[in-house]
Amino acid sequence: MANSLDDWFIKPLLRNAAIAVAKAYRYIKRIDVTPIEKLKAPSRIRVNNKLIGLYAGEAKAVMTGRFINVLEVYDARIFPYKNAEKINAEVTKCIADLIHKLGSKGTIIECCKRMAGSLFEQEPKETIEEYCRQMTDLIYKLDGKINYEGDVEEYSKKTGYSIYLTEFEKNMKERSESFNAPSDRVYQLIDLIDYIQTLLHEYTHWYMLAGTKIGILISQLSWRERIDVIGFTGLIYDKINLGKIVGEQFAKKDKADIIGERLKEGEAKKVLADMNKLLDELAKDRKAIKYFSSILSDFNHLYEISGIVSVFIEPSTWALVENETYFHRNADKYFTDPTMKEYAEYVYKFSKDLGDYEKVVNRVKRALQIDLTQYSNKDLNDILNDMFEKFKEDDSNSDVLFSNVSLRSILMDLIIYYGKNPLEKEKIDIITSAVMRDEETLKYVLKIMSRYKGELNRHGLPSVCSDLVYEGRLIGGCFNPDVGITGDKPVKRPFGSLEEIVGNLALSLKPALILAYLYSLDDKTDYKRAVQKIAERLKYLGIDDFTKIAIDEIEDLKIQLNKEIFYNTTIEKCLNNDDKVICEKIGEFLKEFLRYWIYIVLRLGRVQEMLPNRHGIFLF
Amino acid sequence: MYDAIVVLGGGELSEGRINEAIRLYNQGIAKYLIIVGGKDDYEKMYKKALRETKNINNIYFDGNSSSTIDNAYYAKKIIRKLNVRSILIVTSKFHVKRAVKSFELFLGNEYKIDAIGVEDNPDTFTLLKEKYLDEILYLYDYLKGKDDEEIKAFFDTIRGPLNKIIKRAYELGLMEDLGID
Repeated sequence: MANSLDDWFIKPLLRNAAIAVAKAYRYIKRIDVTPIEKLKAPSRIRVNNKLIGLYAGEAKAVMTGRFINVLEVYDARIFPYKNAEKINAEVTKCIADLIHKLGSKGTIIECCKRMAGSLFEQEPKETIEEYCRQMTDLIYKLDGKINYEGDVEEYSKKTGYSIYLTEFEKNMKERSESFNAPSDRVYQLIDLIDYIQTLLHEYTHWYMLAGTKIGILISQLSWRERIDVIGFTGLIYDKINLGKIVGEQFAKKDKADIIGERLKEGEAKKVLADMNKLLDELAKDRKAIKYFSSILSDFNHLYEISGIVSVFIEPSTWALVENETYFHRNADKYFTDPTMKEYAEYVYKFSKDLGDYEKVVNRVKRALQIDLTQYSNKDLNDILNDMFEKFKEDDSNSDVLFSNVSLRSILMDLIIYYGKNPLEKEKIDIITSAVMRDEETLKYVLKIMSRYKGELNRHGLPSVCSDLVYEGRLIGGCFNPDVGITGDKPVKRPFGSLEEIVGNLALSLKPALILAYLYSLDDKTDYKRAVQKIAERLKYLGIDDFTKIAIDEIEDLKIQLNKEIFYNTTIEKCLNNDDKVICEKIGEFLKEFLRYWIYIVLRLGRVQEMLPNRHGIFLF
Repeated sequence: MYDAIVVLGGGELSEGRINEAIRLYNQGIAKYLIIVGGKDDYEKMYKKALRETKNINNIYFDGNSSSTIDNAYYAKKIIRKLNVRSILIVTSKFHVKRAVKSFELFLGNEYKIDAIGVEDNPDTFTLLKEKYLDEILYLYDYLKGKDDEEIKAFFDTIRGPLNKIIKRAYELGLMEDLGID
């Protein structure tokens, strides 16, 4: 991953951002941002145990605190770039530049025109534009029809292509007898438009959230989660040092870095069985239990907030970006709770009536300005009602609030937060030790602290990430100053994601936790779906049996994950009140979770770091 | 004229600082002499001031500090009590920038804050460390608006780790590589 803050891309990005946010905004002062420790999670957000990001297996993206990651893997050959890493950036930049002027369809057509040149090298620009216009119209018109005809998962993509192609060819031939674009090119054009539309959809979500109070809260929690993950991984690796247990060809001894090839099923099971005593000890270790409880608590908070946010950002985005049938096809899958669905319907209707992109986005932003930390004793309906009242307000004479709260101040607030509790404070010490251990990391941290004094206004920075396949490789692209922009500039940072300061093992903790959560449910449908999603991605990394590993082999291990442990009330009793019985239960759960996580790590080897590992809300 | 001279303890450098503060206090440029430092500074600074000045009733001492931020935090308590509105900070010359920034952080814009730097001979590590800390003074701006306890909590949390990192970087010769020496 590229260096985050000194990339030469930042300046042009900020220029684009200025265009995108030309509307006059009033800033929230950072002192208006409530400390995260005041957040008492609302109690009714968990609906039917479903993760919002995994509502029905067709989720295209995941949303985290600071960026949105598109899940579907696209073929980089459809773009006119040798440098596939730049594709995401180019398309997102195109969207950010145009959406406020051209609206959704206009933006898709224009970006398609700009990107489709290599598909139709012989055709004049006007013709390419016509192709893009025709195909975008068709996709908007036919999407509902195609999706209605069968479950998306079951439905053959090719059938969808055929319907588009038939209509497209018919339309084009009516316009010109000379139309002779080959079918495979038209298929690629469909993929290209689908990619642009997906990025636009996710960009819209991100744009709605960016800079709002809830957005900041998510950022705070997201960073806290990262620090907790680092602390927990560092602590666990002290006891379960896979470099010592499995060997230095598999993992480093001085750092939680998995570097080797995966183990075979029998070997992995033996290693796991041999470490049973260590796991038993960890299950009784007070600090390990506390650190694990923090991880569970972060997970809960982000999970609950994602539920609230989705009621506003999903239907409004559907109204702006998708076709007429999208809401009806998806509302039930997203909103299984009747209250949430009711509000989602209101939001959709309002957004549809308003029509204007900027107006809808601003109304959603206003709804997302509520302070969730004030709602500890109210229920979901109160929260949604207050948000909806904000959403409905006439905005003709009011500024939209958004915050310029910087990443630095979020991190500094977190330092204060960690400083308040001696056990939590030790996580800062774990990070310090990790920084001091490696000379290059030490040098980097010293430099980054002293040199980058400029504010990075993240509000206007497109931060949608996606993956493409290029020459058999999976290539990620992101626009986010905190995460790093994967471009053609060499990586300067001596570590990738922040978590890797303690070792790449930290990267698989969150996905393992989400999988463990889904596995703990009685109904394994969502678990299997998530496994399948991941398996599709891991295929590009040489792992073709992840489904077997995560379903059959895990079942053989007879891992007992008690889903009740995931509930906030349970966790808080241990975390805040040191409730002995509850802490013991969490300890037992910790052992089982570690068995799950470590087994997956042993079976994936170094690929474990490639599990979808963005921190924040929504996974997979 | 100032309402108070505030002299900061500084380990081995305390002596030079208190000498200058006593000289200025005896000249009558301030009503009060406030000494903030560590426990060791009771003998080195406070007792010395009591011995070498006439108006000893207006000399105040706090020995709870272990950092510049602590100096500002504890000095503020005395400053508030005495209703002081203008101060002259006396510290080492190399330390002036950070000392002023620290006091500004706690006292805000309503106070007149000046400083005078004493020429002394800190060791190389102290100088390099100070130069680095000056480089990251911009971080203080992010703490504006926070209450005193939170500001102190931030620095209490970060001081140990930061000192360790700087010390390690010094041992590895990285401070020079950073181009801040």
